[in-house]
Amino acid sequence: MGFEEDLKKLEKIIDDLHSEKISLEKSIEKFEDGVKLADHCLKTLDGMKKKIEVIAKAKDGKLKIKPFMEEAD
Amino acid sequence: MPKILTISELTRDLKEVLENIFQEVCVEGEISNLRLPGSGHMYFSLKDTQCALRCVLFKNAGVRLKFAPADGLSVVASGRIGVYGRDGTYQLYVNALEPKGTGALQLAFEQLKNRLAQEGLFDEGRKKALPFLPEAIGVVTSPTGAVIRDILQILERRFPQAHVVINPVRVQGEGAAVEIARAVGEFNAWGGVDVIILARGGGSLEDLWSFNEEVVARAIYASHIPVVSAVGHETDYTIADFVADKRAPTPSAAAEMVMPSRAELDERIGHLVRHLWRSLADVVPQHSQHIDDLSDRMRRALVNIFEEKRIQLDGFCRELEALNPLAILRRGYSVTMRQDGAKALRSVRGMSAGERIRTRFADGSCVSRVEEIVDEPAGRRKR
Repeated sequence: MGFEEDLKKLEKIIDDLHSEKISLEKSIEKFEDGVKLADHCLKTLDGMKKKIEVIAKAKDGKLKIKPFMEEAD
Repeated sequence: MPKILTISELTRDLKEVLENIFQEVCVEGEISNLRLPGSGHMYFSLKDTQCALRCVLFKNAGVRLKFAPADGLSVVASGRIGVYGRDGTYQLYVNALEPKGTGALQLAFEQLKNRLAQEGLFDEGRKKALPFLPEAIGVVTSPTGAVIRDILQILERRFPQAHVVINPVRVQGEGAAVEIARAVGEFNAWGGVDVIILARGGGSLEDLWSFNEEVVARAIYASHIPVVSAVGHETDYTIADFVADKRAPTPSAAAEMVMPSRAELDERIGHLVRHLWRSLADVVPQHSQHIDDLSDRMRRALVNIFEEKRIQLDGFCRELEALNPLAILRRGYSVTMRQDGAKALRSVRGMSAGERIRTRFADGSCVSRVEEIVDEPAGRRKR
């Protein structure tokens, strides 16, 4: 599931929690869903790793991905 | 009398003279009667108000043209004059053609732009949205120089954990356009990135030309992965910019466009989480309020029920009071029972003289003996 969708869902949950009609059970359920979503979003961000790579073409035409070292001009 | 020549001899002489003198000519005129047969050669006339000159542009010269010749276009043609003996004509063999007024590149740019626009390559409707948080960013650019450095620097600042894959290409010169187009295709075939930046630093129209070539436009159009173009300076527009899903004014701006700021994201999530807790904190009192309301109502309802029952009970009590036999006794009546007191006597029948009976008054009872039984018909009246 997309990061942006998660954020949108989280916003929706907060809106729902502010609605007058929601039952206590439902609001606790939603709150728990919200906590899970926020946790998931943060995990996604924390799971991202810095990687700078460059595509090198092998002789057989296949692509090889190598770490990028900036060359001098 | 001059010597009589054959047509071929005269033609050969004319050819020698003309082709010798007009080995290199530059001539300006307006293109008319342009014909493009399947051979790939191009035939047209150049004319001014009085005269016309037949021209031919062979395929090998034609492919070098940046723009497309068209009837009515004013051009400067250079080449040599040749005699075409079979038809008895002379013509200009064009080896270079330049539009007059605007430069060839400028014209080529306009022509390609119009053609691709008509074909729908620039339609807003088919432009893809950029991913909100790309997992990997593909960059098609030169692996050396300021452009890639700027992009990496901006990404480092905005989102240090970004994943970048560079597909190195030449960004100007012969063959650069094909390399750029191929690089876009490679990213699509590989599928390891979810957004592509096409970038090049500033330069002249000639320097940026690769990004105005059709092969690049087609590659961008065919890309399933969203493409951001960032070519030249803010004021430079290339064909790639028009086809791309998003145009960034500069390579740095492209980096900012594709990657959200980590700090802002953290802030946004933090804000949402605080909001979430606050909502729960709001919800519970709201519900306890509700519970209070309910218990209040319940209490009131109970009070009402009690009240109602009490009134009902009072009624019953009064009714009971009315029926209380003691009350009757208090009014002066008495009840007669056998001595054992087990049963009230309702009739003299079954009583016998000498029997002991008990009489119950309001305030006590007495025991007496029956002296005589008097059968009174008045008793029957009750029946």
